[in-house]
Amino acid sequence: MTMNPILAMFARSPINPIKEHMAAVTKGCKLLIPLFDAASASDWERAKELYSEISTLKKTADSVKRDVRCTLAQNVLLPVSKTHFTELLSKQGQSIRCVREIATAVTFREMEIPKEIIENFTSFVSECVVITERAQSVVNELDELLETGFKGREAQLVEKMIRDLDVSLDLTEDKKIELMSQVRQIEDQLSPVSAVFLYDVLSRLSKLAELAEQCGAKIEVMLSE
Amino acid sequence: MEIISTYGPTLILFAAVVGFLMAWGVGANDVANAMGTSVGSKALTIKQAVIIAMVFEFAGAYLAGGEVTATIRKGIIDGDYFTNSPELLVFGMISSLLAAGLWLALASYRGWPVSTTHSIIGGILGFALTSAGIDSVSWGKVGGIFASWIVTPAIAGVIAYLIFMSAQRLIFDKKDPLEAAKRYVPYYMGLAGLVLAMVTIKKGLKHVGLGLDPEVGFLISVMIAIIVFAIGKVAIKRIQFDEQTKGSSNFNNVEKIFAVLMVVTACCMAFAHGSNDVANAIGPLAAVVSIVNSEGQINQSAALDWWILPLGAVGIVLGLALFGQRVIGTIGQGITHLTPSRGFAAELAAASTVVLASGTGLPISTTQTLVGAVMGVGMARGIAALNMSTIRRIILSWMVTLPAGAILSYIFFTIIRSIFTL
Repeated sequence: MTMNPILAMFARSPINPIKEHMAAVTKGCKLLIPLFDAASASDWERAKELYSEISTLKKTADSVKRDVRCTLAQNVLLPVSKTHFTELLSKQGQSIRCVREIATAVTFREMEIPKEIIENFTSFVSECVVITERAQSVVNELDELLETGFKGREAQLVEKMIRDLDVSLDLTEDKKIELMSQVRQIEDQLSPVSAVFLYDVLSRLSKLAELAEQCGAKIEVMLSE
Repeated sequence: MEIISTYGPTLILFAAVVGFLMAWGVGANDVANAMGTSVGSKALTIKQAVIIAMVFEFAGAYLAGGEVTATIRKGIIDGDYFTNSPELLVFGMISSLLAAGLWLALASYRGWPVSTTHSIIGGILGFALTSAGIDSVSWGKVGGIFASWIVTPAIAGVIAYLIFMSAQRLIFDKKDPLEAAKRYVPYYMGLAGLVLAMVTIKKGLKHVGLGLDPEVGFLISVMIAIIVFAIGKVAIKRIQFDEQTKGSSNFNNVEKIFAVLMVVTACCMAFAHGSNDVANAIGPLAAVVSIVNSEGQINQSAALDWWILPLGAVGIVLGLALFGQRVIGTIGQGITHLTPSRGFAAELAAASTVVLASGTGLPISTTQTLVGAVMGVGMARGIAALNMSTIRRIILSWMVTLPAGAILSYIFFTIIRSIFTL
């Protein structure tokens, strides 16, 4: 049947799949909170359930990612350069991978969290989750940015969101240092391997926050083009 | 000479039937391109699109189709070369129609995005070159037509870019885009009304028998623009907006206002398409009729017979009525990111360019102009993703159309000539 030449000009937008991908990333990231709750309660059955949920989300995200790559693989004219979209997507992909690594370490090493640091630790985790959620809201602004041609008032608004993201990242960094010194104080009571794992998970969590900030940074680059 | 006096009525009837079928094909198939952006961005339903297209295609074809028809009828070929054998010109015009019709049918079947205008020009050039030689073509005029095929998409692109940028500045970049849209969108509607009214009054009313002074015409155009403005204002007031405001901006509601604007630009687009593309079907017919009626005299200044433009207009509308629903219905699923604010910029730019070209008598391609306009919006970073390989394919199919039309026309011409001269 006749293909309408005008409509055949419009290729699939990468924006919706990118948002979909980010939604899976954030959803997986949010599961870290119940996961650490389960770990604190040594409920390893529950932890395994959560791990497999995270793992499924990672797979969903991967298939969405392939989808976006297909839309970007064609010879398309985009409002911002193709590499920015690809890099944003790659940062998002790294985030969900990082989430899964944390979940793997916690679940299969049955990593218990020392009573002394539980309170601070939980709030650190939730801060890392919040920063990812904020990165998601920045990604969700892509639609509005497109409406406004990636400039003007809307762009300024998004830039402000990204600056806030930077501030939050600094705060989580402080929190991490505080937590590290707390772990340092109770190191003697922990088995050496447990201590190493604890430090490792801490640094992965702060990596997660950093990746969220980098998603924002990629969008900032789109705006400055 | 005897051929014309003997077979005159038969030739006219044959040309009329073929021309009518061609107009019918333009209505059935080509209109989908003109209405595509409106339906694709969901500003119009299919039924609404068909109704608008029927009314405004007819108006455009009847009121503003005369100039382009004149160009196709007598602007491309130098009639002096056929003074001694006017029947060849008659055969040739019929062959061009047949060639263009066949090529379009084939292209529709295969899904090639070809241009009606290019195929008919190709057809005319084909028979003129083979029957009377290179000098029989008015190359100055044809060169202008070829140039317009490059220039008009570029102009439409630039206009679309500017319109889109102005909408960005006036509406999307405001603290309250919704309020800004309510304020400024009626002006765009008035502008669209103004362009249409001016071209119609300047070029169209003459042959309907209503010549107006330029000043009076301008005044009436301004009045029409004000009426369109007022209707737009009322229509916007009656929109039901979503209560929930998403984020800082309220672009969903803003797009609803642009959807109203798109109804106006869709009318313009249908009008523009009618004004330019009706000539492809009836220009050759008009040539045949004028030669036969003057018994073989190739009279370059003869007026267009009264029944020819309406015949083309009715043909387009009938094609639309029978097949428009189905053809336009194939549009609409695949679209991911064509919002009314973008569609309007592209349509208004393309429609203005086409209507202005129609006014000067240049047979340009509506689809091509619209492609240029969409590219303009894309350059302004307004569209999520444009398929560049499709655009290359479109351009390629245009380049093929000219020689294809020419060759087919040559074949038909040879056949018809041998039938009548045996």
